Amino acid sequence: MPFLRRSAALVLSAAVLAPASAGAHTVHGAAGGFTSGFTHPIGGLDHVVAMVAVGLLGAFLGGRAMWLLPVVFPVVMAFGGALGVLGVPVPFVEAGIALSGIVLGLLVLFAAKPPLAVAATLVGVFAIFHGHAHGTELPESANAVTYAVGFVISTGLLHLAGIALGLLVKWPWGRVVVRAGGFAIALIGALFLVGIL
Amino acid sequence: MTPLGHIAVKGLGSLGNGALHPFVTPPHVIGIIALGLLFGQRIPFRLKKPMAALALGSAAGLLATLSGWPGSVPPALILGCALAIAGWTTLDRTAPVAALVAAGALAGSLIGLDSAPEAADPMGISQSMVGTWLGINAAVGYLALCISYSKNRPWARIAIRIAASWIIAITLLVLAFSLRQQVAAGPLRKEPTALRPPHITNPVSKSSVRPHRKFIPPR
Repeated sequence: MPFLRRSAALVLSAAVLAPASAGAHTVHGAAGGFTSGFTHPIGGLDHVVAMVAVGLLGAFLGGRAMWLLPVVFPVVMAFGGALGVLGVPVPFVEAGIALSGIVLGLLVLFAAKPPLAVAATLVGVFAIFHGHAHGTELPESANAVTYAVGFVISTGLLHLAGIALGLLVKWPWGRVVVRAGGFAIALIGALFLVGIL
Repeated sequence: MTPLGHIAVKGLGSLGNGALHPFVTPPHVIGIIALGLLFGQRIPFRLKKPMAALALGSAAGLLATLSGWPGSVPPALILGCALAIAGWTTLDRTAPVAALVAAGALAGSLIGLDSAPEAADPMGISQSMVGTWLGINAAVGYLALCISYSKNRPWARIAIRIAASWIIAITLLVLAFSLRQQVAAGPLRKEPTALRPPHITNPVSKSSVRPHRKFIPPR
């Protein structure tokens, strides 16, 4: 269906280029909420590496893991975010975030292939900590809907970046790059855990 | 939550503004995408019943706005509906036609009810309603058609589930935020007693209620 393909590309371009979405140089109201939500997950290196690691691990495990882990993470993270928004305390949030980088990074570094259920549970548990931290920091003034849209899209794009990087495992040199990425993620997580970063 | 669907574009007319309405209200956009993802699970020519239900539901909702409806539905209600729809889509299971019809009718009527036309004159109101109705149905139908044609590709199946999971995450966060706002503004929040007038210090106690004046009929 070439017509559908072309029209879909046109609709997507129109949506991206729509001036209303850009907010025409203002960061108030809906546009401000989106900007605030979109930049929130990429504002902290500990969050960034963990979310990239989820995509990386999914691509590394391959098969169903490639889509299941990036599906599990945002849903459980939103649940953790809801707990944070509602003020429900979750212990060891910062340590959990740092540990997520270490554990996921080490899994990639050592090319470990845990069962899918184990990987999904691990990712889900870590997602609670990330979501809670974000939910607690949700600004009162932000537009909730556009903030959440920006926040989730940003998180998802970080997963996709990890998946894209993880797809390099098809080539021998790519495996080295991906495992080196795992090492870097684990190292950053460890530095956060001991308080150097 | 601030209503966002009231941005009228000058020169576009009531029909154009009505058609734009579903695309400038974030809860409506989320509901439409969720519905499009769900309907897209079926093959293209088996979408008649769900699309008919959506058309009827949205028309009924829009018409109901003329009968004294205050003109807005709580965003949490639309987002809750989108949450259930996206949850089903993420499971990647074929939904029965009856479920699609129910989802289309419910989501359509909620979005329609939340899209009260703002024009003052009867012609403007009718044009705005027709535009909104067309906008809702065209958006869902187009999205469903695009997904339906491409869903057999491996990447498309993954993309559909990831998009549905994003909708779940967005709605969960917004619902939590909405709950927090309600708790903060609701009956759980107590007003300081010292600031209240004495006659409503304790509404339960009879002694503190200001007595009504005795009614004396005019002679």
